[in-house]
Amino acid sequence: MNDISKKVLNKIKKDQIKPKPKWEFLLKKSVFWGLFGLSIIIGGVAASIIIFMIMTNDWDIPRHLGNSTPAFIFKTLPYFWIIILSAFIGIAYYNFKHTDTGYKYRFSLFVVINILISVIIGFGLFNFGAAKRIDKAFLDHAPLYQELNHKPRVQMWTQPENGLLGGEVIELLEDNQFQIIDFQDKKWIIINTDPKSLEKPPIKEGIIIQSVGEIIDNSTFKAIKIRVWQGNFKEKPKPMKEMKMEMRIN
Amino acid sequence: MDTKSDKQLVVETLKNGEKFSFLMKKYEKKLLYYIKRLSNISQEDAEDLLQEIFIKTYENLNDYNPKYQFSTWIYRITYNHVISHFRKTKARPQLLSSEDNLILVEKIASDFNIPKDLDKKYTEKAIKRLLKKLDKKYRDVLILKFLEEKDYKQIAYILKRPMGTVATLLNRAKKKFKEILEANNITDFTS
Repeated sequence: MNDISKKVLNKIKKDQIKPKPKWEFLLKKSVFWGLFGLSIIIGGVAASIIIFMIMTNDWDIPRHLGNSTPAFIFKTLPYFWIIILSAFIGIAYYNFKHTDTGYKYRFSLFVVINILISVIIGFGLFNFGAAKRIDKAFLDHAPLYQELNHKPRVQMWTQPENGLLGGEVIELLEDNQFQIIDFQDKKWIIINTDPKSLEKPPIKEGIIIQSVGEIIDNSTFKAIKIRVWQGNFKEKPKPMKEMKMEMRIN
Repeated sequence: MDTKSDKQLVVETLKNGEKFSFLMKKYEKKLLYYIKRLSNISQEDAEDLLQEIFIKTYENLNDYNPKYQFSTWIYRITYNHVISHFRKTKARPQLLSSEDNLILVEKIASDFNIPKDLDKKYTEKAIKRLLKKLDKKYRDVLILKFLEEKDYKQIAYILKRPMGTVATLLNRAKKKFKEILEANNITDFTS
């Protein structure tokens, strides 16, 4: 036996070095594969909400405002979820790289495949309504989520001077009029002249609407087009009195 | 024991640690050369590193996947350990020895179709200059391909890079090599 072999064997004996158990390696691999899988799923969820927000975006409005579509897209892209998706693609790649097969794939190919998988999962979740529910849950419970993700749309529908006004219906009035409270807590009387909305089931108190039209005076707006808010909207906290009544009923 | 495969030796080592000496005997010389090619350190330092590598190999024997060749696996451990050693010591690996430069010159010239009637000394000078300028990632691939005679799949496994990347690195090394030759007015070769 030569010198190096002797030294190594002596050290192994002296320090009682043993081969690490197989389960340790299996556990490590499982963790990496598990985290990789989880990153793919979360990426899919992010993709589903991106799809949901794109599908419920107000694509007809740029025309009305005379804005360019690219500028509108730039303004209303769901950046929060794009960042989340990108981050989890990165995390998935890191974990995949640490598996036995990860080194075989270039980063660029991995990103393309990952995006495709996220889009497929995303469409699946979107079609089952999961994207809408997840977005609503975030809206209702995550602080700053509306600010981060929905603010551009809310701001867009707070431009009565430009013919766009959104808000919550608080009172139905006579002669196709109703009162709303806008997103800056200002009250407006809406004169509904939209023949389509007149035919449809009546506008109810409590729903959020989007109206296109023109401002008549400081608190009156004539709507030529009305629709229910597309997508989700953050529920306002209910007054204590109403919550107590609900609890008694339940 | 000489006739047993590496996979069999691994199985036997896991049952009886003394049998590890057979694997060490088989790979000691090769790995010493490889360590010195990666770093051009002294024989003594290379032997110290090799001991650490063998101990690491022994500790990780249960991680060896028989789907791959043992030699490729131990080369990967060696490469990672040497690189890690230089990172920790913050030293820079030195260039290849003159002897290895010569071997590399001949093999690259042969592989890249450089005419054999060129002034070898001139080409050697150019190649030394090239190798000095070459990025580490190109040198690592050239060492494994031309000095350790590994194939693309093995190089990819050892360096943990996609095969396409290995091919790209070799092509780029080839282009840089040609640029140096052209800069020295050696243009009479088939591409």
